[in-house]
Amino acid sequence: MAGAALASLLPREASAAASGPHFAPKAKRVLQIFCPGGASHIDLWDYKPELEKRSGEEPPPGAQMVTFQGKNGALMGSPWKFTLRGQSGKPISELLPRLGEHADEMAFIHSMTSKTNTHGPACVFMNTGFILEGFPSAGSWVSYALGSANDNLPTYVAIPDIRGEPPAGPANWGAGFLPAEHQAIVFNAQNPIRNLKRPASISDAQEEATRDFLGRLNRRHADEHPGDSELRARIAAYELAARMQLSAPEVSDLSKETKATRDLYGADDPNHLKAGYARNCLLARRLLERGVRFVNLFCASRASGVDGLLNWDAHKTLQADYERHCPILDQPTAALLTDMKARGLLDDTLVVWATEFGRMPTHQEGTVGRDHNPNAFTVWFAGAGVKGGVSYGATDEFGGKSVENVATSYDFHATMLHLLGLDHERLTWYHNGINRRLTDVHGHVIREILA
Amino acid sequence: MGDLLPGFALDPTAPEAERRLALARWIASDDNALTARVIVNRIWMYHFGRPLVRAPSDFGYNGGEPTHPELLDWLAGRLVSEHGWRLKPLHRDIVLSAAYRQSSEYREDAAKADHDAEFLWRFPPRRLEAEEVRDAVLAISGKLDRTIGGPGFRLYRYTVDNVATYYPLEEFGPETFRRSVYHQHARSVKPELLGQFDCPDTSLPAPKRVSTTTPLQALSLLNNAFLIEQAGFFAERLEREAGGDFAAQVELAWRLAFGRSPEAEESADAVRFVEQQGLALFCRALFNANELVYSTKRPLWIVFAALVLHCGQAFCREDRCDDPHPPRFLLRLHHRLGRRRARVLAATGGLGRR
Repeated sequence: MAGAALASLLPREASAAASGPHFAPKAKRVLQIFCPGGASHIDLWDYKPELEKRSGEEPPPGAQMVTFQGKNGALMGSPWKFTLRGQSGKPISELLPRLGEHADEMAFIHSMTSKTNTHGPACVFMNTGFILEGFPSAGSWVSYALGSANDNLPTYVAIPDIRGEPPAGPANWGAGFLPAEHQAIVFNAQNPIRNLKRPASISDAQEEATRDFLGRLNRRHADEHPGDSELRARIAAYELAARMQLSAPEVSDLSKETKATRDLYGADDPNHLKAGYARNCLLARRLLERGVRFVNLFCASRASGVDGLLNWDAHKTLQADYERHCPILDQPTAALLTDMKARGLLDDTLVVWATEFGRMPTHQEGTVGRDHNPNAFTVWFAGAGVKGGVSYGATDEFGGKSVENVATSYDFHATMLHLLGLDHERLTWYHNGINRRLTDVHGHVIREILA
Repeated sequence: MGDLLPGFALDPTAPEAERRLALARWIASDDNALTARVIVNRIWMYHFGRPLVRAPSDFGYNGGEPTHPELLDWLAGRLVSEHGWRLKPLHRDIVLSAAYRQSSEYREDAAKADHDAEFLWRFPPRRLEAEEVRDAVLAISGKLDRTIGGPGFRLYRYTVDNVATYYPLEEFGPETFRRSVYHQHARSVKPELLGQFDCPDTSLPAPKRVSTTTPLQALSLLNNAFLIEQAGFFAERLEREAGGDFAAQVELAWRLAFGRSPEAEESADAVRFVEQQGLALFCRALFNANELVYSTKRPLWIVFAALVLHCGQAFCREDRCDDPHPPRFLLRLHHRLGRRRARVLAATGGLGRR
């Protein structure tokens, strides 16, 4: 049975009609690359010459900020050089040489702010628009709005890093109060979809006989209840599950990729963390190619007992941490963009890169790391409908605070939805007395970055 | 407030405690129809699967009109004036109603006029809720631990370094065979079987659940280690209680899983399957049957539930009875609601057996 027919059989809760885009979309699907831990804008994307110049000086009076872990010390310039990249001449850290090659495709938003300086709530805020857990993630909203474009694969996939889940885990890809069908299906190149495979003790023939028997049971029962469409929807769901059992291993089978492609991503790199992320990038491309609506791809995991080891949370040893994380991110992500472009996928896929907050322009007292900074961070958009090589908004001269065209997760999501042909004010679900939105009661489309 | 109900006016300088007390008295006042309507609406929803006012937390301009306004007011009035705000008599009013006791049988003529049975020309069929699905599996396999009270259980393990990370269980000990109501939920972590069947996230209040049908539900019911293990227990139970005769095993399986005897054709098909594939695979298939997760027939098993609820006892799928000819003791209970008798039966496990 076709996906459309299946969808029409599934009972839908009455709410603001969500059937397809509100206006002509630029993008059909979204890839979100999320770097949990608070990736430092100052050391990756947001070049601050004044900070470099005054590195080691005390921050000027009034520039003191609320810290998370410890007191702030003196200003600390980035230990890495920034070089001008692409036609646009965008300064990008030498830590990301390959991603720098895509500078002309990226639209940077340098003036992002968060409502919280704590990892879990901040990750959830960037993924759902709320600090409290329990609200639907952006991918769930997109699944609810646009439905599936593939009969055999899930609509929304979350790909956690090989190192584990991000802070607040499933709250980043949950469906909240939207129906469960809109939650992400979680898997990566290392771990298949849970329960996808039957137990090894059951043979092909046994499985087939079981499905036949169950099919007869259910059809007989459905025939006796001709008015109950849910019964036929459930039979269809079992058929879809069976097709998923064939298509999910196929999409996860990276051995089908040429050696050239695998090498482009670094899928066989001796650094197993890099190879792991590279394989997840390859998996993301294969999912997008097959029409998955929203892929939420993570590079790094939760905070560990040792800050900065498992994710971008470089409190104490910035240099060592980022020289570990950036090579993992750089080549595979750049390869993903190159590969998507070569295959025409960037024409109708929106790519966003995000993190939950930025870091301080000062060092954390007694360390050579940076503390959390919810007042300034960078995200970027690329791909379908995005004007490349532009920068929107700005932080102050040190990168401590967003000061120009200050932006929020609401604007980030409003812009994302806009590119998908969705009006963020009209995409709603009635819950507990209010028509809920991904953007709560806020959000403006950042038109300056639209092509 | 003073305009709405007399006697609640407050001095503008009244201290906080006094204000809160006045608010509480206003909410619980016999003259405040809103409170009674809201709770009546909720209890109706729990029994019928849908409320009389579609938005159970929102009455008034935001909430939509009730499908049965006079009924809502009649029940709300009885709750206050007849029952003195006691809920058990309200449950009794509802489950003894003709609307509640009618069949779920489909009628084309009625469906043409009122497709979703909003006006209750039949008992609205519904999918079991998440906890009911899991409890039903345990009850059918014979493993359900009916202990009342005590510490809960978890379907996950977790590690903590700065933040907690949760991992679903891969092996399920008997300490997890309790009713799902005793599951200790972690915020934003939905145990897969429960979450997939729309058990809400515990982070936010959920006055009403959605009911979805997804391929992940199918994959979980087919392949989840818990289901596979329970299918094995179910098979052992059939052998233990029905002996080695396939037809007797199938008969018992049908009664446990669907609350009825198989028809001749069904029985023949099932016996053939058991002969060829064995009991465990047969039991795995039954756990996936539509008839198990949808209540589409005479909902007498819900009457049972309500009866047992009256006694403050647990109920579960095993207590279900879909027979067109319900056993006599059920009818007797049904008509007389002999509370003490029901309590004795429930306590001795007599309710599920005939």
